[in-house]
Amino acid sequence: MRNVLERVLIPLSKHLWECEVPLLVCQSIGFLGYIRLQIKEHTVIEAHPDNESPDLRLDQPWPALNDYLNSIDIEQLDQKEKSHVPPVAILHYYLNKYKDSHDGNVPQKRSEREQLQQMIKDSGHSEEGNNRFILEENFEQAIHYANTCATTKPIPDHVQTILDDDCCVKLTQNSSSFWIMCSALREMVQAEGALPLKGTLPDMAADTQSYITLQNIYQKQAQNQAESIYRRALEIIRNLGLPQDSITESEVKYFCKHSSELHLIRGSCLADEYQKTSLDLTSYLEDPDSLIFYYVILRGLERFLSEFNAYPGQLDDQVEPDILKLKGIINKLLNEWGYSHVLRDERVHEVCRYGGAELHSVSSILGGCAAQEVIKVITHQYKPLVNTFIYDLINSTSATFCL
Amino acid sequence: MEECKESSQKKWTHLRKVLERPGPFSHPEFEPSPDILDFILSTCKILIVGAGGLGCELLKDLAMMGFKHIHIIDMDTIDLSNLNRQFLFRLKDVGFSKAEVAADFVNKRIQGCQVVPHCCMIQEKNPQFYRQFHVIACGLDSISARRWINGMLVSLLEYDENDVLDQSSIIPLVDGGTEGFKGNARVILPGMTACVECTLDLYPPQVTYPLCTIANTPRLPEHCVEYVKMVQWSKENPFGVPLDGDDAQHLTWVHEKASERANQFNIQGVTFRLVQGVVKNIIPAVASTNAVIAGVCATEVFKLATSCCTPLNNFMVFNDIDGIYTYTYEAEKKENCTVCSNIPHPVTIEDPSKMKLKDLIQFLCENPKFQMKNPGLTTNIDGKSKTLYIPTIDVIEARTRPNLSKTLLELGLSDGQQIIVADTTTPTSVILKLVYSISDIEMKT
Ligand SMILES: [Zn+2]
Repeated sequence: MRNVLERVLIPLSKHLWECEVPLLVCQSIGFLGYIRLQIKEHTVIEAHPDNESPDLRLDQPWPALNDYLNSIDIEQLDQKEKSHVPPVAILHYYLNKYKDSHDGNVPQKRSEREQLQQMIKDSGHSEEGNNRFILEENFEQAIHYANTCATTKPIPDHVQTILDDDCCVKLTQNSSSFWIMCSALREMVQAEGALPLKGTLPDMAADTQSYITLQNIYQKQAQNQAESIYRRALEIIRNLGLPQDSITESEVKYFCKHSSELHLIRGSCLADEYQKTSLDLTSYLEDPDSLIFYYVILRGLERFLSEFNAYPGQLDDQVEPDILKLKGIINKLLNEWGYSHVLRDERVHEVCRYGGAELHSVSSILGGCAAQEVIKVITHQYKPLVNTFIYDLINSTSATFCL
Repeated sequence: MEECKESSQKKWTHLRKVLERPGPFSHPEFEPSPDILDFILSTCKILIVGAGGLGCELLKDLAMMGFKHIHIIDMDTIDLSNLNRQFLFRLKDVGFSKAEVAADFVNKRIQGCQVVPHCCMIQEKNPQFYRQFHVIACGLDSISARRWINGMLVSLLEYDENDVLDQSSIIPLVDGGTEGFKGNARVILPGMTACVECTLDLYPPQVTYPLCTIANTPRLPEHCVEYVKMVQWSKENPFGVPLDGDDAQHLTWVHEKASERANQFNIQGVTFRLVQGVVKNIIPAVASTNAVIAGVCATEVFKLATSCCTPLNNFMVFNDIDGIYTYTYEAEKKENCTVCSNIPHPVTIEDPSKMKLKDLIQFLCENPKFQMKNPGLTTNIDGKSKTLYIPTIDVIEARTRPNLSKTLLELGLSDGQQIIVADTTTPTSVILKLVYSISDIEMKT
């Protein structure tokens, strides 16, 4: 929606909040853009995080992984075999060696990890003419993985929050399949202390045969874990008295694969902002360059529009008087919200200069952003905006506020 | 004049507000006046480079912002797979020139708009062609084309006898790029602010391949994999499901088919790892990202053409994977930029009696500062021009090929020698200066 009057927007926002229908509001004025996403509860399964480090679980190898990795004795391999052995096998081998000399403990501290890395480095050098030593790529990767990936990852906070949520702990017949799966996941996490495996291996320097063997081992384990969660979910469904087909196995598999990416968003109602924003604006208002001022100006502009039935600066000879009027409205607004800050005159001036003008390119930018947010909300993929976005095309900067 | 009448028309009231009123954030030289709208409507000439996903958006945006004299250049023809986001094209347009169809669409849709299409390579146009524009906007997916345009605009700069840049010779370049949910937009004032070459390390290596190459003229093992992924999989659908890059069975099938295809074309190097890399690293073009980046670029073109607001200084990145995020910063102009600074570039040679010419060429291709594709090298010895290696002309290539395995010393190149390098990545040549770290005396002993 674009540039809707307050008296239309407020009841609409309240109504849609009640019916739990997401609402996205856009404003495009001059070089300024505003997007507000109102959504009561939104869950994301596949967040597509950037640069996620792999979860190799070498500190808790399950029998299949342990048997396979134990069958590879790194130090008995010839030069050619050594250069093709998967980094996971290298890391496993030296992790065990490390454990043998450290009372069975895996490295925790940085200095301990460095010790493990040194062990790998020392054995990975191969000779190549002219007495030059090079470290094979697979050994380099093993050293790299030793940093973050060897040990089981803790449950991320955003997932733990979901598992502790009332919706997860107290299921009802109306619980969505998302929450039923979360509840099944919670049982498993409580039993095993870790999230299910993703079942994927990152690309690594290795020969095809052993890479595929390893990949299959991780995939199989992930499959077993997903099946176990599926069984738990079916039991939960039965206990709740819901039909068995409320959740499908493929749904659970997808959920498990992305269990480290789960996110829960509980939004706020746009209409409430007209009383006062839930976010304390004080610290933002103290920075005269903060884009929060454009939020305040846009609120003032809406009120101006309601009061005078025109945009500030709409008429050529009214720009100067409208600047004063708009400033008055904004000061009153800030007062009502309990703030005593003043904003830079020039920003009010700039908005009055626009006189309600809409620039095609600015609207096009907002349209692109808004479309993507709508797709995120519909697909439950990627994390949507929480919840207010201000785009200042004067300086080409933007900011997000959770109001 | 008809155009003058048009500038007072009601449909431009929105633009007139920002063009005819002073603003606290406008460019210091901005003088609000109806003449500015007249300038946009009747005089200002814009070139859009690329008529793909970004180009279509840019053309639509600029035409809707009042620009009438827009040229658009693209050598490609429309493919079926373009239609989901390149919205100026319809099914009936498949196989026709992107530039021509886009121009035609906008000319019909927007009254008075005079878009001029150029269906050719950017390299086919001469400096005179590029000099006629006030602003150039790029929506390309190829880094080498970007580098070429950038080099062209730098070559158009004029300096007086005191090496002071003639401001009127500057043609601003607004450049946009997208990759999935990420994008960037930048403003380059050639000779004044950071150019494409100054920030070459910002561009990741390219991983997308045009469909026509994949279908008709595969050269790389990657092309074979892409072909199986994009064409054969959907045709034969071996497992009855979409291709999953995490499924070893799927990858094995693709590996097998891609190897067959590679054999057919005598292409080496289709390995399982490569198959996995290509299948999983697809970054699809996203229509909404194109809309955002093109919108930002069009806004900057409008600012540059009108001075109604200060332009972006000078680089903005955008990402909407997690909420909506932008970051703006000033990319720095490199004092020793290979293109926009006019000085020879020192290249340190450890041992010229060991370094062969091919090693130097490899260095030019792999070094992040140069990132050349297929450089040709000439030099001057004792006042005589000497061709070291020219890869692009067959006869000269054959004649100069033996030089590749000669060392720099064997070629008679001395410390401080200047070498002129020509490459497809730039319309002008780059001058290298060899710096030997071992002195002559040491070498003789
Ligand atoms: Zn430069």
